[in-house]
Order: sequence, then C-alpha cells, then structure tokens
Amino acid sequence: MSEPITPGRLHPEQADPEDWPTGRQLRRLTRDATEAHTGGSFMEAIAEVYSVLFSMVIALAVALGAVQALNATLSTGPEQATLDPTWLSIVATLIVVGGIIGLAARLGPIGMGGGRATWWLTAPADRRGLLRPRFVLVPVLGGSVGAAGGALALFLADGTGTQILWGVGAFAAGGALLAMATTAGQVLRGNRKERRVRPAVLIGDLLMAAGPVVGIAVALLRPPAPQVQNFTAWPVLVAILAGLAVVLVWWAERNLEKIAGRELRARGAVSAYAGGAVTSMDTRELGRALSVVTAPDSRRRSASFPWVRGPVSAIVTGDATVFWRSPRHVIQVFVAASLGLLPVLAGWPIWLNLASLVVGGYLAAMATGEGARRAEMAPVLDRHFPISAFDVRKARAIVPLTVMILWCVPIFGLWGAAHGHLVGWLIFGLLCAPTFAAGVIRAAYRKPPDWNKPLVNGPAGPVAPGVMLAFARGPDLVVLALIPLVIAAIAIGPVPILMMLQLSTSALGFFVATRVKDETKPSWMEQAQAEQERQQREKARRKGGR
Amino acid sequence: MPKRKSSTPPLVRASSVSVGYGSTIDSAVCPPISVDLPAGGGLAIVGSNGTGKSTFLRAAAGLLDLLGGSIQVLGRPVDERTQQFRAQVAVVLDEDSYLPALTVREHLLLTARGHGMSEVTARVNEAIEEFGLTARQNAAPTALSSGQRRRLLLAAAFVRPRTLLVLDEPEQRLDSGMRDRLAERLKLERSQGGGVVMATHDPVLVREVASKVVVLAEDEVRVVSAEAGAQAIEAL
Repeated sequence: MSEPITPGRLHPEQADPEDWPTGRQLRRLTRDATEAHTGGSFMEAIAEVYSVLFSMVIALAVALGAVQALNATLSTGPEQATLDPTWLSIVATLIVVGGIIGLAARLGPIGMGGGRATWWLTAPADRRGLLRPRFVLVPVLGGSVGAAGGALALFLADGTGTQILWGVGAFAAGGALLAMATTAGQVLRGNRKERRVRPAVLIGDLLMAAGPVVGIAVALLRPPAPQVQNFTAWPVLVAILAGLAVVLVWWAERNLEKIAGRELRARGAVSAYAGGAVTSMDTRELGRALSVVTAPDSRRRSASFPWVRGPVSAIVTGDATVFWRSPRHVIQVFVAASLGLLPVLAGWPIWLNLASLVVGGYLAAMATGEGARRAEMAPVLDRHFPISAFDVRKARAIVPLTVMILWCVPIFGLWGAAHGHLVGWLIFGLLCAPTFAAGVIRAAYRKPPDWNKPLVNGPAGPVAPGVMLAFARGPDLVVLALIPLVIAAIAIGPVPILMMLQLSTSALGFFVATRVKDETKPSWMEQAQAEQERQQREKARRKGGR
Repeated sequence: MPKRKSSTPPLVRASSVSVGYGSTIDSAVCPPISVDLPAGGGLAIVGSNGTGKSTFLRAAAGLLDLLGGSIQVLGRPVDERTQQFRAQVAVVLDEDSYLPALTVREHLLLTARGHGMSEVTARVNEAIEEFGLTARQNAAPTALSSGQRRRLLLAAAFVRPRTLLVLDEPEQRLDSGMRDRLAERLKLERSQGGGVVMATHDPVLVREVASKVVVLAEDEVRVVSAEAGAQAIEAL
C-alpha cells in the first residue's frame, strides 16, 4: 500500500507564507525584468517621427505652392454658423461621455492580462496590492478625458473664462465618476456569468451614436438652444460629482478582491491587447482589441448568401457582413461623419473644416476595413479563394469604397451648401471616396514592425523600431492623394482641372494600395535599412576590436 | 528494363530545398530537402520540435522565401499570389483564420460559393456533419472550443475543390475519433487522385495516409517509407 502523500513531501522547499512576496514586490520584479530587454536607440524613433511629419509637410507645401503659382487667394470659409454653439457643445458632450463609458467598460476598467494574469493571479500575493496601480489610473484617466472633453464642450459653447474653468472641473469630476461607476459594476458583478453585451458598453455606444444624430437633427430643425450661460450652480455640481467619485473610489478599493479572476483575465486580455496596440501605434490591433468578445456567444441563425457567385462576391459579402454585424464600426462611421460635418455647421475657419473632413473621412474608412485587417492577420483568409492576390485586394476595397461613397455624398453636399458650388463639391466627394478606401486597404496590409530587433525604451514603454513608419502607412497615402482637394478647399474651389487631378491621384492611390509585391522579398527600403544596420554592426565591431 | 519516365509532373517537387527564418543559408533549420510527390500520393514531414516541419510547409505554400533550392507545385515554381495556385492548393496551417462575425455555417457557405460550386447547401451540410459541427453550425468561431475551431478550418479545406492539401499538424487539438475520421478522409482524398502534404507527430496518421515520409533532424534528412516514418515518430 502506498504511503499517504503530505504537502511537505511534494514540495519540500515550499516557502513559509510570511516569505511570500507582496503584490507590490511582484510588480517591481516583473518591471525590472522587462526593462532589461531594451537597447535600441531612442533616436531611431525620433527619425521615424521626422519621416512621417516630413511627408505631411510636403503635401501642405505642394498645395500652398500650387495656390501661389495660380495666384489665387486663400478662402476664409463659410461666414455664418448654422448651428448654435450650445448645441455643438451638447453634441461634443454626448460623444465624450459615451466614449468614456464605452472605453472604460471594454477595457475593464480593472483587469489583468497576458503574462501578468498567468504569473500574478496564481501567486499567493494580495490582489489589492497587485491591482492598485491599475485602479489608481481609472479615476485619473476618466478625469483627464472628462476634463479635455469639458474644455472642448465649453469652448464650443462660447463659455467665459470662469465658466470654462468650472465646466472643466465638472467634466473632470464627471469623467472620474463614470469610470468609477463602471469599476463598481465590475465589483458588484462578482462571480456572476458575463452577458453577451455589457450594459455599460451598450450605453456608451448609444450615447456616442446619439451625438451626431442630435447634431444633424438640430441643424435641420433649428430648435432654440438651451441657455447654458445662465447656469450658475457650477460649484455645487462639481462638489456633488467629485464627492460621489471619491465615495466610489473608497468603496471600490476596499472591495477589489471581489472582482472574479475570470473577469480580471477577460478584461485584462482586452486591455493588454489594446495597450500593446497603442504603444506599437498599430491601429489595426487597437480595432481588434476593442472588438474582442469575451462573453459566450449566443446562438444565431446563419445567412445562406444565395447571391454569392464566385470569389469576388464571396469576399465582398464576407467583408460587408463583418462590418454590418459590428455596431462599433457602424457607430464609428456616424461619429466620423459628425467630425466632418460639425465644423462646417459651426462656421469654423476653412483649415479646421478641411482637417476635420480628412481626419473624419479616414476614421470612417477605418471602420470599413475590418475584413482586410482580419485577412492580413490570418493570410489564409485571402488565399482561400480562386482569385489572384491583386484581385483579392481590389475585392477587399469594395466595401470601404461603397461606404465611403455613401459617406462623402452628404458630407461634401453639406460642404457645398455652406461654401457654394454644391454640384462641384458633390463630384469632388465622389472622387475622394476611392482615396479614403485606398488608405484603409494600405493600412490594413502594412507589414508589422519587427519586434525581434532591440526595442526602443519610450515614455509609454518599450516599442519596436519602425512603429511610426507602420503607423503612417495609410494616412500618408490619403494626405498625398488629397492634395487637389486641399487646393480646391483653401483657394480655388471645385474647378474641373482639380477634379481631373483628384481623379488621377485617387486612381494612383488606389493602384498603390491594391498592388501586391512579393512579401517574401525585402523592399528597397528594407534592404537599405539592413545595409545600414550591417554597417553599424561593423562599426561597433571595429570599435570593440581597437 | 529501365523504368519509363512519367510525363505527368509530380504534384510537388522539392529540389535541395533549404528553409529557415533568416536571410542566408547559414540560418537554415535543417539540411537541404529533396523529395517528389506524385498525384494521389501522401507526403508526411516528421521530426522533433524545431526541425523545420512547419517551415518547410510554409515554403511549399508560398508563404516563406527559400534560402536555397527550389519547389515546384503542380509543375510550376511556387507563387501563391496566382489564381491557379489558390484554386488548386488548400492550406490549413497552425493558426486560427476566421472572421469572428460569421458563423461556422456561413464560413463554409461562403467558401463553397466562392469557389463557384454547385449543390452548395448539400455539400456544406455534409462537411458540417463529417467534422462533427452540426450542433455548433450557427455559432461564431469565438464561441467554439479550440478543437472545434480546428474542425472548422479542416472542413473549410474539404468543402472546396483542390488538387493538393497542405496541412500543418492536422491532428492537433482533435479527439481520437475525429483523428480516425480525418485519416479516412485523407485516404479517400488520395484514392481520388489528390495529393496530401502534412507535417505531423501522429504515427497512426502517417501509417494510414503517407506514401512516403521525410524525417527531419538537425544534421540529416531521410526519405523513408510510411512504416519507417511512423517508427521514427515513436522513437522521438
């Protein structure tokens, strides 16, 4: 008969519980080990920032040079605002509040992912100590985003100095309160089963979507604006919001241990994914991170896709379904529309209108490229159909192109209504749509930076060399291919010659974005970079040998 | 009497192929590989971890540049970008490749319809049943277990037309019943004239499916019979 097994015999070197590391010690040990792996030069990252800015400056210089050569005068934009500033601030507030709630709920706010979840959650250290840094960040980040949003909202509402100051305070306290309320939801949920759609995510997304809807409705119906200027109870509001936030901070900190390990891992996986995407400046990964579903999927019916005949319609149907079934992406298109529309309605200077239009257009296009981004992540998806690589990319551009045509028509129509030349601007919008689609396809298929090279230790943590160049791939094409639009907007208007030019640059951009080079062969830039690295190694070797 | 040379090119012809993840021949993970696979043949690549099985498969699927030598698939140098290659070669690698918004059934429907097949519904139903996904056919891939996701990827490869199947450790995450059914399915594939190239650690799959086996090691490459290959796995 075998002897009974005692824990002491199985683990003869088991430490005394008093010798167990605290959560804080475990955190420090991990941080020190991570930092030991960096070694790249920070100047490499600076050089990349320079390259990115340089391409944007070139685009602007070309546009301004063309304006000067044509001896045209710079446009000043629409003279009158069509939307009351107070309504503008309300729209901004809805978007900011929705954004805070949605983001906080998607990211946890409390979570622990990746290696930390594996090593820390199984350690006998106190969880309050392990979670405290993340916990402290929650009200700070919520407050910061709230303050920034508040400053924007009060600025839009033409608030006075004191009003802006109190408003920022109220928004900051409100932001912290919202973030802490989401944390409290995590604590209260305890060990209960997760729902398919988290209520806070739904509330956040609905509020964000309500922003542009309210903006457009108000612009069309012109109801009288609420009188925010007469509001005098700012100090009381700030005190109430801040007081509630402090109470929630105190309560949640004492109850951090109640958050289930499953919840910490699930939220941590999402936030680690998103954090990695932010530090590596990879918008593709950020989108994927925010789309991660951690709850069990409820059974749904399958569509039969009877209209699909052949590879192109299969790819387009797949991409369209991916877009349509992701409310976050549909909402992103609407929010991006508000970015393009509101500055025009507010009668802001032309350069602000233009910047908002380009940024809004690119944001909207980004929402439509999930199919391409997925295919880049899992290349087999592209190689699955009997169609060449070049044709696959063209097919993957169809959904972004269609959505962007639908996006550009109302936005450029409104632009035309505000600036004059309605038909001309509508045509310009149609010609710009392929550029936005091309930008998002180029961004989706960009090569990720090489994380095997020595990392660069930046303020947000170690990053791979090449992240900025990867980040710029996509926006660079949009900026350069929209030079005719810039010239038309700031000086000449939608004249036929610029339309022809826009047609040419859009076609060229589309060709560049859908071109497929042999990915197994290094590009000339990669070859040049490899040669530079070889020379640096040689130089270092000579120095060491001396 | 000397053997007469067949005029039909082999499905796969690897000539002194060196593979690895560096840029020079020094970074090759194994000695050069030379092997032919005729139509209706089954080639298994076996060896311990890190000897280059998956790397060779990626090169054969056109996803990795060769460090030396050449590979021809269906009589042409590998270029996975072409329509012809994609139409005839079905690849299942060790990665989760799916669109999270589509259900299991929708993935298979789109694949079959995308290849312009007829009687799509019947084919998809058959594949779903064959790979044990009937109860989960309306679920999104994110709601499946890792083994079920593996079944989905294999089903997607079988629901479409192909001449050559490239499989990276197809037995991974499958239960023993499913492994047996997969072996039967791959035998049927061969009997119908299709080719199978697979990296595997499963001696049963090698005995059932392979007609020849490449045994990879750090310092040598051997091309042996199915039985000898299965024994090589068992000896690892």
